[in-house]
Amino acid sequence: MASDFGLKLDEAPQVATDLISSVKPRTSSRSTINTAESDRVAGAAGFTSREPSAAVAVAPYATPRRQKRPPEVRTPLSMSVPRSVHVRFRDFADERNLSYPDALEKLLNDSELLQRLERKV
Amino acid sequence: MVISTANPKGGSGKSTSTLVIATTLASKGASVCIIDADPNQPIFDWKTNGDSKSDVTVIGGVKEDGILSLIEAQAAIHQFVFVDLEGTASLMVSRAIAFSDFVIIPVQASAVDVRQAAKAILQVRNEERIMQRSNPDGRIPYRVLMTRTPAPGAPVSRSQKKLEAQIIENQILTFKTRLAERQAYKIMLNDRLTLDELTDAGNIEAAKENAVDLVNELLRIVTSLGSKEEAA
Repeated sequence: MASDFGLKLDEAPQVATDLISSVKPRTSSRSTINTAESDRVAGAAGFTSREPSAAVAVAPYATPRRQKRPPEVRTPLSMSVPRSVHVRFRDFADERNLSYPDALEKLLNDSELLQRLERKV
Repeated sequence: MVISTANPKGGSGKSTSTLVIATTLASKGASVCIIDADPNQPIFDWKTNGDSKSDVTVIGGVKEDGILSLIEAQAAIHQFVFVDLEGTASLMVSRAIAFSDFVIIPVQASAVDVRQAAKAILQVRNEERIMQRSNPDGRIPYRVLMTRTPAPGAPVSRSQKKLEAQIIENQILTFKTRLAERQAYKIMLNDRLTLDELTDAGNIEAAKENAVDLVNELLRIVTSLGSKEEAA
């Protein structure tokens, strides 16, 4: 263990620079390797992707969920209307994916908005 | 020449071995690039946050999809491209092995290291078989490198002896040179310097001699592989 105390008599080994100069950059490509096959075999041997795949943003429900509204005392409203009005009202609610109470509220809100605009004009 | 350092077990000495070999080669004028494919980026950190004057080019932030084109591009302009792979069994590892001319598999004397090294050897053979479908002469040679071994003259542990016996029994190809446990190797990573730039790190001369022996053995192996391929 003479070398551990800096007393060794032999010269320190040198890197074989002649061998370094014999190594050249690649001139041919390895792109012929079938990477899909390589990945398949690697997967079978337990080599799997560690990178997160792109998240697929698909909502579990196709239809939008209705907003929850603050609780308010609810009162039944029952009325008999002409059939045509019934059909129009039902279609209005269906097209907007609204419940009948929400559809009625929207009609009232829109009506008030329209009145305010008419007053301004 | 593309040389990957692979062992799905973390902490087996991949980054240390890569850095020791690559900086030793670069200090003798070789054109060297290290692709740091380890998510912890130890060598990229060594290069970007340190003061080393080493000419080694280090590329970090590699993704699975980009590693093959990156290896190809760097191999066309550097004599040596080292790929320091992550300590997991990932597609990044298998793809880099497929595009390598030589694979170094560092192993410490532990049962987990050896089991994971066997996995890396198996994958090297798998990739070689796939390569041979398009190129019957294609080879991906490998050598197991025993790391953190006792310094010459120091007592050898039972587990080390057992590991060496198993390697001989299973005819696994290994480097004759081992990378000994040296303070200098730890400090070169911590202080982000090369062995030549260290001033106070234990027995630096012994660490340098070990590095030179390892580099010379690697050079002898890879250059003889080249001549065999040319002759074929």
